[in-house]
Amino acid sequence: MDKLLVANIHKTLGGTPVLKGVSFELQRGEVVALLGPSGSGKTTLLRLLAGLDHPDIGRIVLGDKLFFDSQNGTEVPAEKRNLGLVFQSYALWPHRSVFDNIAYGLRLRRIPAGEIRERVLAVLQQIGLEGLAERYPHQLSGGQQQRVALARAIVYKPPLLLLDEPLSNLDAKLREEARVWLREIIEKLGISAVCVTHDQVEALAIADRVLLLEKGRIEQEGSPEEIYENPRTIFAAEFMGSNNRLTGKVTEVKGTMARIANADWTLSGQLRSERRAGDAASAVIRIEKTRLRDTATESSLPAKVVTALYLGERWDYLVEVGGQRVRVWAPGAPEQKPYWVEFPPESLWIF
Amino acid sequence: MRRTTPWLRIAVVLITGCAVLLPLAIVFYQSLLDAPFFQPSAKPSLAAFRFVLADADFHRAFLTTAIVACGMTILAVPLGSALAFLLVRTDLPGRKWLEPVVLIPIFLSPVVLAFGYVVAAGPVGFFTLWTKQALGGAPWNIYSLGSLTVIAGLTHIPYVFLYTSSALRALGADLEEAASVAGAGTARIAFTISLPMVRPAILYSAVLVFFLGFEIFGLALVLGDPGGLLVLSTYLYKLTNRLGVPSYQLMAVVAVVIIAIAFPLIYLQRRLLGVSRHFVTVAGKGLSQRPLRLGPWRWLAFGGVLVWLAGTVLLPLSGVFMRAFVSAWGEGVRLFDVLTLDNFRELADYPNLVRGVLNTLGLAVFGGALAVAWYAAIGLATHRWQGLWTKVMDYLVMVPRGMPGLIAGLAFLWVFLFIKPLAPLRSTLFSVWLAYSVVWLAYGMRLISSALLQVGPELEEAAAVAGASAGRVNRDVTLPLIRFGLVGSWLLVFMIFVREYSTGVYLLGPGTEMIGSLIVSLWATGAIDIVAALSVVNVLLVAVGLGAALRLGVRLHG
Repeated sequence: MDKLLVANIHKTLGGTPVLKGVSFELQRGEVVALLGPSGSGKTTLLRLLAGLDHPDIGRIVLGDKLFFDSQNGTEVPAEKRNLGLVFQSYALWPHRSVFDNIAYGLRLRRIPAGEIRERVLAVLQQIGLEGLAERYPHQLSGGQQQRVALARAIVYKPPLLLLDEPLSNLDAKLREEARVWLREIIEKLGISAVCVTHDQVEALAIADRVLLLEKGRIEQEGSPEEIYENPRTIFAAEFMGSNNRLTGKVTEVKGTMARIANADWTLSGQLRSERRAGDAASAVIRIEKTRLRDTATESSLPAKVVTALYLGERWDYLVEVGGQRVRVWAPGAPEQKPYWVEFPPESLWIF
Repeated sequence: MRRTTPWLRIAVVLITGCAVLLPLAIVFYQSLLDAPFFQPSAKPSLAAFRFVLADADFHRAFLTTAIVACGMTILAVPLGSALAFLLVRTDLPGRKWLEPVVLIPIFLSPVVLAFGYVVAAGPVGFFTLWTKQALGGAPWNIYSLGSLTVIAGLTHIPYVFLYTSSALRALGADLEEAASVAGAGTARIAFTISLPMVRPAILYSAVLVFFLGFEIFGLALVLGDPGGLLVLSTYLYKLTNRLGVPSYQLMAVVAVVIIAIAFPLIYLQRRLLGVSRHFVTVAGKGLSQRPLRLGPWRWLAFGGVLVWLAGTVLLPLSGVFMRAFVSAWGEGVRLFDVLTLDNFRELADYPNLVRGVLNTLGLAVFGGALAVAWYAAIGLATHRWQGLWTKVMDYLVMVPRGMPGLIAGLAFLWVFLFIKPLAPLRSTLFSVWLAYSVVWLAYGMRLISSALLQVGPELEEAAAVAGASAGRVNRDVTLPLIRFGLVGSWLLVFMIFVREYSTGVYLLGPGTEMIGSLIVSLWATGAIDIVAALSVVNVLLVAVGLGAALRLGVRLHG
């Protein structure tokens, strides 16, 4: 019943088109990540959902409530949408205690004081901050503030929770913990959530489904595995993970497979876009799929080590292959011997 | 649900628009008539323009005004910039406590200051006579064009200081440190790095001082009159009785001339303000600032600042205070023989004077709060609201700056005469409050918007998403967050309202007496004792406001 439907959203900000026809659906209890580089329009989209801004064209429906429709001029203001929103900066009100911050939404809904107390204390316990109700935001650590911001957004049980880069203000270690914790709490509540992030790891970890945004359009959507393992465009391929890219020309197309070659090398891989023999093309492969070998194999190319960086759990090699530089990870330090780099055809995508 | 029209916001804009534009409109309308607008025989005509523009006195007044405005700009800008550099960037002794002190002249009524100069250094002033006793003669004439220009220049230094110092403060110390490491001395850094970097702010303050020079009234009235010097505003003021009949049309023409000069200058300021913001963003990070060393020059510079303070604050104020506590003063009188409190007793005997003090206090305290409430309403009405109405408001707020207090007071008098339903309000304090609030609208809005600027938009959005209507967001989030800003604004507006003198001049009547306008009108009758006593009361009220503001840590910069 609380399905979110977003249809054909267009939005121009300051003369620049930010969203150019975005549509998606969100099933009840599903967590969707809006992933994209800065400027892709993801935060704008979230603000449109929240009602803090309105689209130029489009339709937004949650369950049986029409939030926005440019065709008949419907616009439900933010305060009437009954959504929860966690801001990137948390936006905790500095002049209110933790309790009053969380209780605010309940007071606006005219819930009796006794019940407010009960519910606020319950949610405080849920986020592991019991006993801090009387503190003020500036007396909390960043991680605690983030939890309070989440508590404030979920305490009135909104049908949809919106999260704007919820973890980006935490330092790296805390972020890993918070990621697990956030996913756990969303699952426990069983609510739908839309989470904006530019961090692919965050998106993959938190979401059931990822919408990859680029320049105001949805580039690809799918489960985290699908997005990572099966990118449909070169943008999607290169945005996720760490990659090597080689440029050359398609020499042969055979079904879903193709060969790409340059003056010094030739490789086979999965053909991912409309290319015919003779077209210029790029080959993209995740670094972790690229292998360093000391013997030649069918899909490998001879490599010259340029430099190697020690990263603790592995060595990061920069090598030259047929006049182009690629990176490859290996467990050991470089030695004085010939090397080959293997590009497994099932992991090499040709665009 | 349809998108709702923000009627409340629009209403605030419309009400403000009326309050701002009506007086302006009536001035223009009156200037195009051949008689006061209330006379049935008044016809549209350019006769008033022809009369004024052909009047030799007007020409002289215009020229004098231009000389004073140029002279004070030439004087105030270099000195004010130097003062700002010394106080903000160097190890000048006592710069912490000097900062609020150098701003004092801004909060003193010019008419009080001018009066102070007359009783301190006029032909029979305290210091003139003492100098004569000691040296046999006093080589200055307070009533000359030169004195007027110098005094105007010196008392306007704080305005330059205000803008230049805040620009200097925003400048990253790393820029100066880079020059210092490269081998530049303090003076070289000042002239090649710091001051050139804040050039837009200096230019802005130059335009501001020049503009204030064109509006100058109190100083010119007291210091220029005895020597027959007229500036535009005093020419306007004298027109009142010149022809025996109320020559509103002529006054309106002079007002139009002043407004016509003011608006381009305001526009220029606005442009410059935009430029100076660009400059500041270019600058480095503005945190830890190590003051530049003045070396042996620091005491000389300190002495210079003290001499200026003595000349612009101590000299006139000591004159005012001494004059208020003596029964008479002149050649051969010894100060300790004539000390008395009679002037204040006399003050207490005149009901209109007592009323003036109470009115001033009431208008400053309650009227000030009401004005801040109005400014806050305007601020909230245009807060986070993009669009035509906000742009309109932006320009509306600037309009009163083009009308000096004297003209605004006159224009409001006409508004109350012209619009019959408002007539009964003319002789009430409401008329004075409205005129004061409109005259200081731009100033007040600057205070409010700088407070509103501190509120992060997401704090308000968080409340909206949680279910709060626009009104509740204001009540629960925005207003509580700017409450210190509002209190600070209230104190500043209190001081400004106590200080104000010219706006009330034409609105002065039984029931609408204000200290400032009483001083202006009593000065004309020569009641020096009473003027001195009122001036002391005025200065003390300002001092109370200033003390409270400093106690609460209110930024005097606005």
